[in-house]
Amino acid sequence: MGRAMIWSKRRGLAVAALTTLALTAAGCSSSGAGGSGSGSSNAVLKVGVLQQFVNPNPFNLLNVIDYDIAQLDYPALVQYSHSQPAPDLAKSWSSTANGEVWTFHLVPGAKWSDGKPLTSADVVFSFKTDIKYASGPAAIDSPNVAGITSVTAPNPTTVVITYSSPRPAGVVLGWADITPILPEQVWAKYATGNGAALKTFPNKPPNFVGGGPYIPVEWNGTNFLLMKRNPYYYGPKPGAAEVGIQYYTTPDGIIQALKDHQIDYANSLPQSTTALLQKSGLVVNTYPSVNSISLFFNMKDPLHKEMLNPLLRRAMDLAMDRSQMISVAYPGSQPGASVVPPADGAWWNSSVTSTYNVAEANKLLDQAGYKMGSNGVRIADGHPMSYQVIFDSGLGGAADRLFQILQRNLSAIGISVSQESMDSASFSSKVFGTNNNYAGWDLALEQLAPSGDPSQALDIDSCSYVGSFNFSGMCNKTFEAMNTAQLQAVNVSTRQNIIHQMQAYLNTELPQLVLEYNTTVDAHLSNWTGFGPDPFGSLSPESKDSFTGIHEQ
Amino acid sequence: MRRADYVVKRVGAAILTTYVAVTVNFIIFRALPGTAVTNMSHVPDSGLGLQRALAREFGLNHSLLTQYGLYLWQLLHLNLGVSFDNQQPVVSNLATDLLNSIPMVTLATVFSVLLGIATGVIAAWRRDTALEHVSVVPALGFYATPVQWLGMIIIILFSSYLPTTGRTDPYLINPTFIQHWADVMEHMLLPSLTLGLVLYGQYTLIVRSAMLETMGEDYVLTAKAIGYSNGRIVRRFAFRNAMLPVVSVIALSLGFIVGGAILVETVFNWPGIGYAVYQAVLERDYPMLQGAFLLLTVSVIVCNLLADLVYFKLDPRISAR
Repeated sequence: MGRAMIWSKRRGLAVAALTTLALTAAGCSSSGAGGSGSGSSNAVLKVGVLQQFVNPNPFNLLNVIDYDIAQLDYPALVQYSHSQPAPDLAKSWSSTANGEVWTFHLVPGAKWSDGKPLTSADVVFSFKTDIKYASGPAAIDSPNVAGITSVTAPNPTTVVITYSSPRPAGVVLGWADITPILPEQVWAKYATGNGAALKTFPNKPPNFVGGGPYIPVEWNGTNFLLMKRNPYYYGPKPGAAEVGIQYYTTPDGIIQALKDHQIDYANSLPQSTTALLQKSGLVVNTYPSVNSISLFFNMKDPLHKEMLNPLLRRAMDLAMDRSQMISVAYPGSQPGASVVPPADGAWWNSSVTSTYNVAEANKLLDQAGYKMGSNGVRIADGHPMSYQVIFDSGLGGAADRLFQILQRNLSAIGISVSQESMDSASFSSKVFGTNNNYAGWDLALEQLAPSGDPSQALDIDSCSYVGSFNFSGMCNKTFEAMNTAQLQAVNVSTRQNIIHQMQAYLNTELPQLVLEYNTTVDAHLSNWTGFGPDPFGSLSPESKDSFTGIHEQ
Repeated sequence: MRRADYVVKRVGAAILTTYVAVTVNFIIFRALPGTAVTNMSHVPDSGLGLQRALAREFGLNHSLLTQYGLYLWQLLHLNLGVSFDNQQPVVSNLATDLLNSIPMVTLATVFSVLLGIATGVIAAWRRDTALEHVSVVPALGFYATPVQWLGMIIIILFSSYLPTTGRTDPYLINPTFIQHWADVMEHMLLPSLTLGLVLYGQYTLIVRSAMLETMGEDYVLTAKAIGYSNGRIVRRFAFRNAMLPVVSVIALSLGFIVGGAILVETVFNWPGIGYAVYQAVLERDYPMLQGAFLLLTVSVIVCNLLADLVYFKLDPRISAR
């Protein structure tokens, strides 16, 4: 027989021992949520989110959820409440008439979570660090501190920020809102040399020091963060004693968890789930969002030059049945028109509207000389008007559905489009091209998520964001002049007029067709209340008040 | 063949394969369109300044040849670099992910091996009977089932009885070791069951095939002629020799345990290396991808080598050459 394998009892036991060892290691590898232990489990608000939180370091903020949590962990000079600037660490502020010097008066007697005083010196340190390393480790905050020439602290509760040119309130406060103030006693030692240590410092519990309403106490490094109420918080006492934020990979999972009462609140759910959530007996809150989905034209170097013909862009705009897109794919949204959304309040130009008129669209294309071919596709410059639309697959299934409607709408006017779907990194690479030449494509579909101040929504079409947020590649002197003017218009009415004019101008140039303005959908169990409104939902990157009022009934 | 020659040849081949794998690892991820920097153009407040700073920080502003040289130099010093995503050492990221994946995938593998062997033996022993069909058909059915679909069905069926997401109950406060272990095991059951069900079919077929071949050998006929019972023939003769190809498959599977199970980990939100790799691909986190694939490659090579060495020891036909 030879030396055949002997499957003896000893080997069997060895396998069993190895398996047990591996499974025992399963228990050793991570301690799980040790936590600080709260008084009662009802005091813990269990939150489910659909974005993964991976960066407790404020210099590594990548996703919106990172900003949401930074807003709760750190003070900022101001916050946004009901989409308006509101006090945070600064209880009041003022500026000189020319808008170049801004003075912030801080809450007196504020403290960090380690009990040390939170003063203007920390604000100065934070801003100076951002300025010093703006082209390096603090690049994430470089737009926030652009144009600042000095930051001083005449006393422990006053900060004076001086700009090189006039700055309107919306711009100053909008950036200040998302600039975390850091404890100098923790971060000073990393703000030395080239500042690389600022980004590599893990900043994890239990050594975390913050000043916001909550402080992280437990983080498993992947999908769960536990925060507890900061006893030294300078603002109103938060309603929930502890907050657990748990990441779910799919909307199905998070909705099932909500229905099973495994979590109490879910943030930013897909709009298509609204009816399902309501039927399940959950409390659903919807808020007008600043997000929108747009079809971008390549305004710089399109594959087909007819994209630069304004008649074509207008015709395509008229052919978009936005109502159907909304009713099928994004229930609850509003039809899109201006790049500044209605959620921006008075900044939104309500006279910029969209119209659905297929006959008029066909008339414009006939006028432009694009004759209909025998197969129902028009001809431009000797080729069929058949284009690919670069599509960010991260937009999800609802956007696929929207695209199908868009495809049908354009087919009705003799334009054929097909979807070229790719992930976000590939999308950006394709759109921006080599050295931002924007070559090799015509149309792209993407979602925009600008901040509350309209300047970021307008920056999307500005020269300074070519290769970044500017997906159309538009760089236009007229628009740039208006943009520069609004960024320096200290008078609110003057600024509002300029911004309205900019929206009207974009409505004639049409670098993008804004198809719909999203609606933010949050859902929670009925035993919790106090969820504040915000375009991003109650868990927001720009507001503390929308979240800290949440409490159990 | 002398043992020393055999071992030296196999080890040499393993080293060469590792170098080729390292180089391929470097090239294939950079062949993907976009980089970690272009991925971050969607970050709030991202401007060109941030992109340039990140390109410098990630070393993406160097030529490809320079990046390759730096990569090899770091590898020689056992440095896998820092993740573009969370700025932490790749080694610690992978260690955490691996320690999460290994127990779950090991449990699934053990389940699939034991069930596969049992059903394979039954299918061969009771060939051409209803028992064979009952053994083989479900095995093939599960083997052909998309694992993510099966996972979702299992969630629907068992969500009322067992946890269906995550690795632990995050709200289990200050657990004892036993409580924590039990919590992890409870969370592990469904993902391991899902993975085990789609894997066991391959063992069923391999064992069945090897058993049938072995049972056709002359010595088995001799054993029958001697008067041994079927059960004794299967246990003492056929089964042992039929296990040789199974050893190879198990050794190869062990290598892939390191890769985790991307789809299962995604469906069950299990924080393992498979899901980490998937995220790293989307984010073009080159250091994480390179580290994870190197780990996977080395583990497959090592396990292949071990399988060869074990086979060499077990099979006298090889060592006698």
